[in-house]
Amino acid sequence: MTKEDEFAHRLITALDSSVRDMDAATLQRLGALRRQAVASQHSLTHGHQILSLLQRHSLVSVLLALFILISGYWFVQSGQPAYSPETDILLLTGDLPPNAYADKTFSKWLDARSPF
Amino acid sequence: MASSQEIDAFLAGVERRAFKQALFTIRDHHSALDVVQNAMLKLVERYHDKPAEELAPLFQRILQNTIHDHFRRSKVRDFWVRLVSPLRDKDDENTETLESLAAHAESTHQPNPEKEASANQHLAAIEQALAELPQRQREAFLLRYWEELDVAETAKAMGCSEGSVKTHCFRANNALAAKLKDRGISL
Repeated sequence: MTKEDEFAHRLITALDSSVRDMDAATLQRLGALRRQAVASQHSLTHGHQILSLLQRHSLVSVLLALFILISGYWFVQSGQPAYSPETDILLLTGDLPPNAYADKTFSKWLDARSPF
Repeated sequence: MASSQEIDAFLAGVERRAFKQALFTIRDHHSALDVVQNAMLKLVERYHDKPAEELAPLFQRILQNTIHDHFRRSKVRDFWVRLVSPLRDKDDENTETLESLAAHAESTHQPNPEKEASANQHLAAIEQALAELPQRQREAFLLRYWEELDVAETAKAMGCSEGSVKTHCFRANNALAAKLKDRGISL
């Protein structure tokens, strides 16, 4: 050990004693901060588990993303009424019978409600 | 990967020295606690998956960076405060509430008279001498001798070369010896 190191170690011994005699309020606060930091690890760990699993299995994540996209597309498409070109033709040429435009249920409902 | 118990044990072992390190540099009790808290949270957030034996140099690096960040933010805040202060109403400057005075007294961390009387004068002088060192010298000295990191680990934690660490340590030792000699303290 060099002379320089010896001097430094004597200083550090003195500093260590100051750390041992630290006031109780500061020690309590430091303990609370530590517990808070360690507790944050638990909340992080659960989220990170899923993320790290996806990072490790890139094929799984790609397939999962594709599945989500396809099912989303299917959901949007299934909500729309089926397109029929025949209906368009009939509407344009006016060959639909008049009762095709009539709202029979509405007339019935109106008759049933009318006091006259 | 370090378990919660290992991280807790590691932090319990370094928290006091980390606080002192921050206090030597920042010289404000509450800010030093804030810095230690930020360093602990960053370690857990970013490096909880590292093995326990790697935590010490990582934590020291985070702590040094957090201290530097604190100074950077303080500089920016001081700049804006100075810029805006002439616009303030002069009456506002002289009004101090009891709460602000109490907070100030708490933040400057004045020891009570009894403690002051019984405080070790040598220790106070050593701490004062350390606080007066240039920041890089103090960092190198504390990391190398107090945290017992080797030269390579200290260099990594400080983000400089091993040669710089040796130079900083040498200068820190000389400066401390001179300062303590001036105060009539021999170790």
